Amino acid sequence: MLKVDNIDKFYGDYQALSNVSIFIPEKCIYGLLGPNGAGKTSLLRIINQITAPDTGTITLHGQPLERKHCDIIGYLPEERGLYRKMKVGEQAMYLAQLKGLDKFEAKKRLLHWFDKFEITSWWDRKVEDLSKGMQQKIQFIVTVIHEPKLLILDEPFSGFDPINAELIKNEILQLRKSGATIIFSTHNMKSVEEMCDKIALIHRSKKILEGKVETIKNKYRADLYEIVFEGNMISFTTALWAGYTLVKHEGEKNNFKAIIKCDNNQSINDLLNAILPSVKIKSVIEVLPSMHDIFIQKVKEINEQN
Amino acid sequence: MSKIKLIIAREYWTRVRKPSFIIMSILGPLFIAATFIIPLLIKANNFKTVYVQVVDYSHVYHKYIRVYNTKHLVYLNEYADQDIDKVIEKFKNSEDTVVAWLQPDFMKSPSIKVYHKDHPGLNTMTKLKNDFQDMRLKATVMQGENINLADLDKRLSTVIVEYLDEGVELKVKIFIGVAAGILMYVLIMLYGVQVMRGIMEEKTSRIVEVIISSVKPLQLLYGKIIGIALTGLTQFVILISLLLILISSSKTLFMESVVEKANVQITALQSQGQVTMTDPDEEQKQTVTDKELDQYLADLKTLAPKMLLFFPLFFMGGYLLYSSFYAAIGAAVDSETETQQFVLPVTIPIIVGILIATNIFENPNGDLAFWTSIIPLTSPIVMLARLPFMDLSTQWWEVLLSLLILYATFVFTTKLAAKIYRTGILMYGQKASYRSIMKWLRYKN
Repeated sequence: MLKVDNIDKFYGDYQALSNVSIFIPEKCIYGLLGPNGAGKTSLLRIINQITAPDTGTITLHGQPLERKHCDIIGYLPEERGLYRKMKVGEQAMYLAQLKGLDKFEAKKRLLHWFDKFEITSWWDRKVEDLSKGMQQKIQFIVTVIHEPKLLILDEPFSGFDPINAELIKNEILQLRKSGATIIFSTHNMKSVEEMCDKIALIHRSKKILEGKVETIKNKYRADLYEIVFEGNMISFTTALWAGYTLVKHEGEKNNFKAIIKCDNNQSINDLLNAILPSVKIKSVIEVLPSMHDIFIQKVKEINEQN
Repeated sequence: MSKIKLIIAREYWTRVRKPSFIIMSILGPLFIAATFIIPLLIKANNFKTVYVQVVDYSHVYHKYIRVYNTKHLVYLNEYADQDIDKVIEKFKNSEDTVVAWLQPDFMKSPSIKVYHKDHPGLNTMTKLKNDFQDMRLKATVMQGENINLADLDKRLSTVIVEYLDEGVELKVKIFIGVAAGILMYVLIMLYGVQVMRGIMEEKTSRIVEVIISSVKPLQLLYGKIIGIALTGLTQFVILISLLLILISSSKTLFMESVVEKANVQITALQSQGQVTMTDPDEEQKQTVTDKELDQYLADLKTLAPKMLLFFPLFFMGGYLLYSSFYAAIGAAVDSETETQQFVLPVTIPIIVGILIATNIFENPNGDLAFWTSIIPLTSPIVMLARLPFMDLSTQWWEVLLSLLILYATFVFTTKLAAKIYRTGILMYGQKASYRSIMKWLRYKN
């Protein structure tokens, strides 16, 4: 759906994006991960046409990105707010009409959303009288009010209380179901692992990794298994005397939890075969690396290369 | 005690070391000095000599008036006994500034008819009036006329100057000019600052990024500036309408109250049996005020068309120019306190403008008046104050030139402001400095 090709962006001498290319398929939840200051917001601003890239191209549905596309994009910036002195309803109408809805349609959809979030009674209240959580709901509504095909969320969960975060998360999943493509950026990598289909890692203005979450995790799997068993720790370690490494273990008496690394292409079957005679196995789980771990590993690799 | 010393020291040093403290300490006295110097500068242009042609139908006074010649005001007597129209025609092709006619009965009815090219200013006209008054009295003495005290009293009365051009009283011109200048100053400041605050509000409340993902940043900027401009114009229309209603009704109100008061007094006195008839002085006074008021209203009517035409034009230009500065400031800063260092330099030309505007009547066509009404930073205010003194049939090009320069400048400054705006509004949590703003100007879009 969205193709970003070789984008460079400079602010004076500072390079915010360096030769970044990403591809976002239709109906995908795409995570843009990276630490603060990596260039995520710069990239999102370019996709939103708030700023323009110095070089590179962006196409949406095969067409070069243009002003008219604004009406099919919804953007929830990281730094977000509302006019404090304006009434909630009036303001929501204004923002909805800026997105290209006519007055009648805007009102109809807003009433629907207000009803859904049970905030209809706020319509005539001033924004400054609302709590931060309440304002966040309004911000979310005006982001999706025009039913965008592409929804861009910059740090969507930052500042949301857990209840609202859950509400928003469900709405995001619902929107994807009804056909929207979603980009979301965060430095909190854990929060997106469960939601994203595809991710890109951005580090110091460069994209250092892109792919499906599953594929990446598989690529970076370290053949680690967590085994919970009943039995003697000594006989357990003796059984694994060759081809395996005991990374960590905990427990007491007869109940233990151990993390084992398989060396030399040993499979889980081999591992189980080796320990079956010695202990009673309660559970076996493969330990996959977290995005956080992958990110740190990747950065290390790059630093070593340089 | 030592703790309070610590606090005092901190409070003192943190303030004294601030650049704004140093700047204000220097600018303060300069500003006060300017309030004295600017009127002097305006008057200084009077070093140009004003030549007054005296056309004396009485054949007596032109001899005496030459005694009053100074370096700056010279009385000549080159046209004798000609028609007013003929004199004016000749005068228009000459180097002279003013013509003054003395009627044959100048001794009885002390009025001079005056015609001028560029208005010579209050100072010169006051001197001219005083010279004739003084001369009239001295002539009486010199001619050895035998007059009684009552007649002498009448000769001491003020000489009335009648302007032949558009016939507008100098007082009215000064009033209209100063009022228009001050109104312009207030409106430009008021609405310029609103642009700045509006942009700051959008930036600090962080709504700006939501909006500029729907519209171009410049659409937002121009929409805001034009929206606020329309507010200003609406206010202007309301103000003027109210003023017109007030003026047209004040005459009747004022007159009614005077008559009523007089009537009440008379009835009171009559009831006491002290007076049986109206005091003739009172009656005279009443008719004089009535006449004056009529004259003022007529003067206002004469001046109204050009003021009402040019005020909105200069307001738009001046507002657009200054709002571009204010917009840049609003986009660059993150908080109210940061605005000070940027607002000060923008305010200085406006204040200079208002200082000149309120003193312009001293010499409305001098060099300082001319240049400050052409230079765009002061022109909206100064030109409006000058306008009542200008003869648009000959000076139209000055107004046009001033407008053209003003509008051209705002196009240029708005472009610069837009560049600063585009970058500034997305720079959160950074302290703006002149250096960083210069850097933003070089960014590509």
